[in-house]
Amino acid sequence: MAPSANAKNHWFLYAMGGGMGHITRATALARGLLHQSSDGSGSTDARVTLLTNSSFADGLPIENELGPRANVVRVDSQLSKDNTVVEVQRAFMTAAVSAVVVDTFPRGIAGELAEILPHFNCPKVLVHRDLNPSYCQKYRLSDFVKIYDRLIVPGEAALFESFPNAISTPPWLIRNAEELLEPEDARCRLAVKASTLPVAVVLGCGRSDEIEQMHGWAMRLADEFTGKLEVRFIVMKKPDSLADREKKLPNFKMISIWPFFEVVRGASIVISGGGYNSVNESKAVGIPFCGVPRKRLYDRQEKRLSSNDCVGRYDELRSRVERIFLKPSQYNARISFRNGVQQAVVAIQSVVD
Amino acid sequence: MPKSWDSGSCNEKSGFLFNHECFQPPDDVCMKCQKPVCSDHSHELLGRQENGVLCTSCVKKDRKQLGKRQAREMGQHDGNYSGHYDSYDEPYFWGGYYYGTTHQHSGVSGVASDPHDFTEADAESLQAADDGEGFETDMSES
Repeated sequence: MAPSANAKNHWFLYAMGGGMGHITRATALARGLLHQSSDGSGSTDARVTLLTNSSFADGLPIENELGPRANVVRVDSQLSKDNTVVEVQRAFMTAAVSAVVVDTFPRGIAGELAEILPHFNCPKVLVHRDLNPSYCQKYRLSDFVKIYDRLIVPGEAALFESFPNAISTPPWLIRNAEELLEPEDARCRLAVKASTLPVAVVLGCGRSDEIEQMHGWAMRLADEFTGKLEVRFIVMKKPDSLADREKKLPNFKMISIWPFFEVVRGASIVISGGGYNSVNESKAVGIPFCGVPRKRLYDRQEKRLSSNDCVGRYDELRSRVERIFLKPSQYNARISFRNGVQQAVVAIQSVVD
Repeated sequence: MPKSWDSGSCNEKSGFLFNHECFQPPDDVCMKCQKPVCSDHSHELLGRQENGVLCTSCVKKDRKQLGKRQAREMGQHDGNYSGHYDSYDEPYFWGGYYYGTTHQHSGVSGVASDPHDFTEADAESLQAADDGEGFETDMSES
């Protein structure tokens, strides 16, 4: 059994799952673990193994984010369930770790951890988030999660948050407030430096058809608000179907930036799905947000979005965007928020010490 | 001011988790809000079309009010309102007060609530479209 207590400061982060949510949240946590030594001095020998099967992972510069002490294991997103399980088992068996941190799925994305975890003698931590109650009920998760030494609830209500070994933190963000680019610099990264117009940033994430829909909406906004609005479509994996669709509009650009949060202060409004990161990032900095709640098997995005933030049709989005023309700009407002990562790191280290 | 409806298609918006538009041709008009609705989204009052039909949204609103009234009147009569509409087991009505009604009818309303138990707000997800099938099989889910 590879995971053991003698592999000091080696954290295994299980971040399996589609989209960019799991991998971004796990990267945020990994940054915290790598930058925080066990004695709090800041110089650390910590290492991280991060396991992902996100179809976006190939295009994300995760190693650049985390540096040489991180090992990112990318499992092919196209693998069958059986082959995915084999890859997960292989990753676990080749890493000697001091603790396992599992994001979201207590039993693993394929239920494979239900077999694996009981054999580990190292501490186990669950990043416990809201889950579809049918899933919780079907697999009796209220009993199963007792296998974990610690549950950490990252900023959103979750079913087992009142368990005695559970701790709640503010949302985990991939940048601290002081790490965000100033508005001028952020607009530069968004290629709107020469313009003084408001900027609508549309995030192309989720499934291919959802990215296509957001791309279409971004183009419509640019078309309808030419001369009044700059539109930036941020996408890390462009679906093939978008390749020929780029209509030339002077106020529209498609850009790849990750993590987007670093440049969020360049946006006047953020338009996205209802995923964990985009919603919590926008809330943290107080930037107007519009989200389309996507249907997911486990994540209940409709619960994350307030009625003010939620849109379902283009005309609703359009009217929300029009509001930013009426409101005075928050362009240089001071940003202050708590990043739950720091508290999470302390909680994780406490189960090892 | 009465709402204007598109008379060319069913104007109901309904779904399991998210409301979506219905593009079927209308068969009837809701007697309460005058919304044109297709046969899937129309519900006969007292099980007879000649009594008129209500759209799914109006039935849901009525049902919510009935649920509150039922709670007030528990013990005074059997509280069986479900016969007012033609088919309460249709998926359009899964959610909202499902849990409360179930508890009342099963006579467990006096049981102390478990803080880890699901709440009324979870009822819709518990009755989700695939009824739990598909968990731990799709590796791209989140």
